[in-house]
Amino acid sequence: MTTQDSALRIAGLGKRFPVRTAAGTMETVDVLKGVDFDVRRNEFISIIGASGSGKTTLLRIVAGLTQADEGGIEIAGKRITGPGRERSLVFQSINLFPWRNVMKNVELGLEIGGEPEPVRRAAAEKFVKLVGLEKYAHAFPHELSGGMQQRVGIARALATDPDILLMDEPFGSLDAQTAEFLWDELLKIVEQTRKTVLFVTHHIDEAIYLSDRIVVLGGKPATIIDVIDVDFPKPRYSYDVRAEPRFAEFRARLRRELFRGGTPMAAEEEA
Amino acid sequence: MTLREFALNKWVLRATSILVVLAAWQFVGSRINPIFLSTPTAIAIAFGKTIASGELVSAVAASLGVTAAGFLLALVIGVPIGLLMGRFRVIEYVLDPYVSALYVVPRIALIPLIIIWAGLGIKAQIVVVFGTTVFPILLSTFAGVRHVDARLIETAYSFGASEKQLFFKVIIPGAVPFIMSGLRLGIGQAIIGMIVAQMFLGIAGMGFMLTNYGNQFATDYVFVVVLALAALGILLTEMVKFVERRFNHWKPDERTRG
Repeated sequence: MTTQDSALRIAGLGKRFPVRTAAGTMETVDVLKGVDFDVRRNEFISIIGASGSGKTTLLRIVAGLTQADEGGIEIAGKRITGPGRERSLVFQSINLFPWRNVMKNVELGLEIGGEPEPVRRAAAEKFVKLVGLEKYAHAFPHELSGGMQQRVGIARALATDPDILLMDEPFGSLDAQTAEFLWDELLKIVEQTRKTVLFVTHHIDEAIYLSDRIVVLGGKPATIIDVIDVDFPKPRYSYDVRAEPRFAEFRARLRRELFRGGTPMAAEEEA
Repeated sequence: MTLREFALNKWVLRATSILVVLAAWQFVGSRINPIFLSTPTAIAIAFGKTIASGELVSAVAASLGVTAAGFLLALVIGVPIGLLMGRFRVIEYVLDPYVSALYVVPRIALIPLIIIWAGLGIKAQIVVVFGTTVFPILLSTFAGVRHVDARLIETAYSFGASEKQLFFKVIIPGAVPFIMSGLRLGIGQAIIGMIVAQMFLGIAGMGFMLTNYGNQFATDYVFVVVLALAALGILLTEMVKFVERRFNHWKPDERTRG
């Protein structure tokens, strides 16, 4: 792979956290160790792992919200240590500003970037329409359903025109039907806007349905235990991809890896 | 509306209650020493006289001026200090000994010092109003900054916000509901401060009227001032509530209240 194809390089990433032991003393524990992979341009990569596997920590380091203790993140050959305009984050907790209406929420990133008002408004109008909320452009967040709120969250992330969309369990707080409906919406949006996506989830079907590749984190400290190429044809919302026999194979493989052959409960006890 | 519904209407109940109490007051008050209770009719006559002479209007104007000046001073000093103390630990630890100490001292106890420093005039009255008003405003603002959702700060930071942008786009708007309730508490404290200041320091204003008529045992005139104070308190609190609603229009519960 040439550097031109690489949107993002995660190089030998390690992260430690201080924890309080049973004896009451503090010690540092390795959460991530030697995590190493490339994200290609226009690729949709999911990072999947059991809870506590460090997948959100990994995404926060890529977002520039947390610093790595070993290795780092490279974009276009340059080491990054903080947030940047080429990346945007979509949060599980959505985090809309309650005192701003939909338009003003979508404008947030551009406002911080110092864009003039006409530019901001034009971008907000475009992306509010893209996520299908033009009728609610002047509504306040509390007037919207959870699914609509996360559409605003996605529009806000897209409005600054980043190359890479970082998504931290974005549909994790929504009900199953709304989440599945938004999978197709997201695939259409990513296709239209030609974004690279790094998507954190613990939801196996979600990862298979959305991703070009799935990076599986596991172990203590977490390392990459598998990388799965999901080569179903696109666009996936045009046929029932979950009815494919290989979808079930991927699902079984991921269940084995995430639960280490046991039940989720057994895996949790082991952890 | 049936008779029963009419009798249970909240406005009918309120009006009936007031009429019954006024009638009882008139009945009892006119049979005992007028210094003790006075009567509603005597108070109405005293009200007419203070209006006709212009005394009440000029006293209300003097009191309103002192209250407004002290309140605005408390606003422009209390809100910025509260914001800075809430956001920056260094400023908090440098200032909180004084804030805590001054907050627990009853401000009335400082009146002798205020007389020494600021004399007996309007300036001293404004200082007293400022002293009673600044703490609820400052402490509410401080609490408001501390209650700003940390996830919103992180969201703005993820878009590359500077400290200045965090302050103006997240911290201040996030603290507005608390600042507004600080102002609501503050306006009540400002009226208390104004009355105390004018009772001690005034040669004009409603506080002075109270002391003056009280010393003359003119109970009906004292009631005129007390009732005027109640009206003033309601008016000023409603004004702050109106501003509060304008700022909190995005909140779910404010919408339905209108």
